[in-house]
Amino acid sequence: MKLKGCKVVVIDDSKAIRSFLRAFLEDEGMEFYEAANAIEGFKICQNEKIDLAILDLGLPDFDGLEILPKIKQIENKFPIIVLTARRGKEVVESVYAKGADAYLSKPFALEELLEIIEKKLCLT
Amino acid sequence: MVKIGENKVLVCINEHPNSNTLLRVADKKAKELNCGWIVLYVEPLENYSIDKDSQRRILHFLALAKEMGAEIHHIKSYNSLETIITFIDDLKKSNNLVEHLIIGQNSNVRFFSRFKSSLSEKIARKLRKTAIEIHIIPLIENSNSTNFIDQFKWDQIKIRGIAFAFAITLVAGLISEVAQRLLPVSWQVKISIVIALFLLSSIISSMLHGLIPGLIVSILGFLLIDYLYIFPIYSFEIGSPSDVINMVIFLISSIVLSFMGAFNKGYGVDLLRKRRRSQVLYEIYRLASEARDKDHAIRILHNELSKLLEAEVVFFLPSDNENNDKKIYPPDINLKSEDEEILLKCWQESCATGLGTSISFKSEWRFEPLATARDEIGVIGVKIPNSLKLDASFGLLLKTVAEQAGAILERINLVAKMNESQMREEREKLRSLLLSSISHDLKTPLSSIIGCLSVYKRMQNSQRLTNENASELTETALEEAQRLNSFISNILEMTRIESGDVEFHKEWMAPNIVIEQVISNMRNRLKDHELIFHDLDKKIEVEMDVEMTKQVLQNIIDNAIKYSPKNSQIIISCQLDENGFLYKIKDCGPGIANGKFEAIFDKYERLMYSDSKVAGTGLGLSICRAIMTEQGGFVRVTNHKDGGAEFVVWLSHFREINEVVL
Repeated sequence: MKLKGCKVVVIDDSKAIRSFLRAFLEDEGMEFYEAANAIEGFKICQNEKIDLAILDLGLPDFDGLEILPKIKQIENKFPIIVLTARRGKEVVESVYAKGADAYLSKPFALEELLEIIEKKLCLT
Repeated sequence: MVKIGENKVLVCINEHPNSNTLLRVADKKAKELNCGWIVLYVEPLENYSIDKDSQRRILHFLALAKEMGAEIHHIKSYNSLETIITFIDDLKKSNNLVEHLIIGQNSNVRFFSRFKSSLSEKIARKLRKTAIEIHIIPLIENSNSTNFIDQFKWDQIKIRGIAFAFAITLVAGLISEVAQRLLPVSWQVKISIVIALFLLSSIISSMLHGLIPGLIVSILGFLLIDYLYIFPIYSFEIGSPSDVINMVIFLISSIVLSFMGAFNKGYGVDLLRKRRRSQVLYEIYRLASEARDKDHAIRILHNELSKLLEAEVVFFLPSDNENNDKKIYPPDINLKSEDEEILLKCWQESCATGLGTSISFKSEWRFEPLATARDEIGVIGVKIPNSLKLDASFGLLLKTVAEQAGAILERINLVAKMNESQMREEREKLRSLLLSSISHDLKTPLSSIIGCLSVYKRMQNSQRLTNENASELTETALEEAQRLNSFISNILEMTRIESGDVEFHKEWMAPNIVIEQVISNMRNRLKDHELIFHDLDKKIEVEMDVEMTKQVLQNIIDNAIKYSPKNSQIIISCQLDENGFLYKIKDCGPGIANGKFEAIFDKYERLMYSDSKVAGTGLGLSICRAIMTEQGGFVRVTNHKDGGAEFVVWLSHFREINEVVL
């Protein structure tokens, strides 16, 4: 399986989201890391040779849009998927402008997320 | 010729340059009543002849009136008043009733003419008992009137003034006597010096205390000089004709000086009164400008203007709900039906009506429109007491009062409108925020539920679902569903309170019973915390909506549970302060971030940042605030010194109860 052994970090303040994503992505064979805020998430990205990050925008310490370019600057380049309940053309545009590789709005279908993850990991 | 059997408007004109105003008023009135109008010019045959300019003017006015469709009557007479009355009577005999009589009044009255009634006043008096409505039109605004004439009123004469007159006469007499007796013969005081001394006394008296004291000094001075210095001395006789002439000249000079002094004083008093009026007016308008709303401003204006004008003041304003009802302040005022008519006229035609104006001169009320350049706001009515002198300056004062009051009320109206539009804008903004926030707050737990169930199904299908996974996923889905439910309930509750759908039922209730019930209801949620309750040491009852207050306490305790660590203390106490009763709820959580003490209650603030908060929790405190505001109390938060938040729920009405021990 392509995804087996890939390191993924989910940075989201909702415990429920992290919880079912852990079940789902671990089932897909990925190594799962999670963070409830931006700083914690950034540290994981820096230290754990992450292959993929899934980032929420409304985080309690920093907004996802603020931390996004900083994660992007980490030496070990990896794709970032923004997963948020925020919608609208402006949101999508700013997400891509800050360096995100994909945007997915909540609620979402698991297959949709899986498809994006596979696509992004193959591309890198 | 006069047409027979018709009601008429009669206008009496004279050579005054503004007489064309009278023609205009008459023409307007006639058109309004759809009847004919007659112009009467009574040329005086008294001992003065009018100048050429005046003659030319009169001819011009008569021609103008003819052009405007009036019937012209030019009568020469020695007695204008009698001629006008006879003319009206003659018309009546020929079956032509004069319904309205329009007459001008030269308000620029000369000095001595103040002592007699004007022609218009005489006519008004003569026709008082007839059905004729008299309109007296002021032809020149006189803003320089003095209250000189007031000095003749008995109530204006003060004992102090009279005493001063006697005293100063005595002093003048003593000075003359002492000078006569003590000074050496070479310094002999001449009679002319004595006369000058008394003239001085008389002018000082009149300048300081008015005309009557001045005149008293003149007469006393005359008698004293005659008695003491005119041969034969010590008698009131005057020996020589030259002394008679001297004394007459003295008396006349003294009286004239008294008048001049009094006039000067009157002018000064008038200036002083004007200055005082402007100060008082300024103060009134300053007060009224700071009023909270229109009603408050009207109350202030009413109280202060009643004091200033020493008369009954009434405000009439169209009601806010745009029907024809008028709002009246003070509401208990009773107007006669004819006064109501002229009030309506003032409102409809936006001009002053009632006493002292061209419309319904005879009323005891004077109505001025509260009009501004933009709008007509209402009408101010002043019931003029008989004691009040209705001169041009008073008319001007009323006009100023009305204009200023109009401006203030307009400003308050504008501010209210602005606030309303600002509020509407804010509401709109809030509504759209609320919508996007609701959609966000609904979607976050919803995506968790969908996600959990999708993972569950997927793993089940691939037969990789472990018991551990299954239980974690279903538990998470359930928690999120509950959160969603509480969020929706909060939103609905908030909307109901704010839209006024929720009726508050206040009752007297022991506060400890309320909190005990809340604690009992929440005991499951409180099982991980240590709850400490301090009751008051005396029995009281507090006025509150019990169910709503329970909801407030529940939300705050819920908040404390969420934000404080397990097994920590939550301390609830009932207390009294000098003004009311309060519940205090202390927790051992992280406390409230600096500068957020207000924001945590603010729905708007909550919505702005809803993205970064746990969904479904933030509106609880906004609901607390809405409820407490609605029932006249408040809810506030501070951080207590040991860390953690301390909420205060305050209610204003409490009473002690004495328990009856059986």
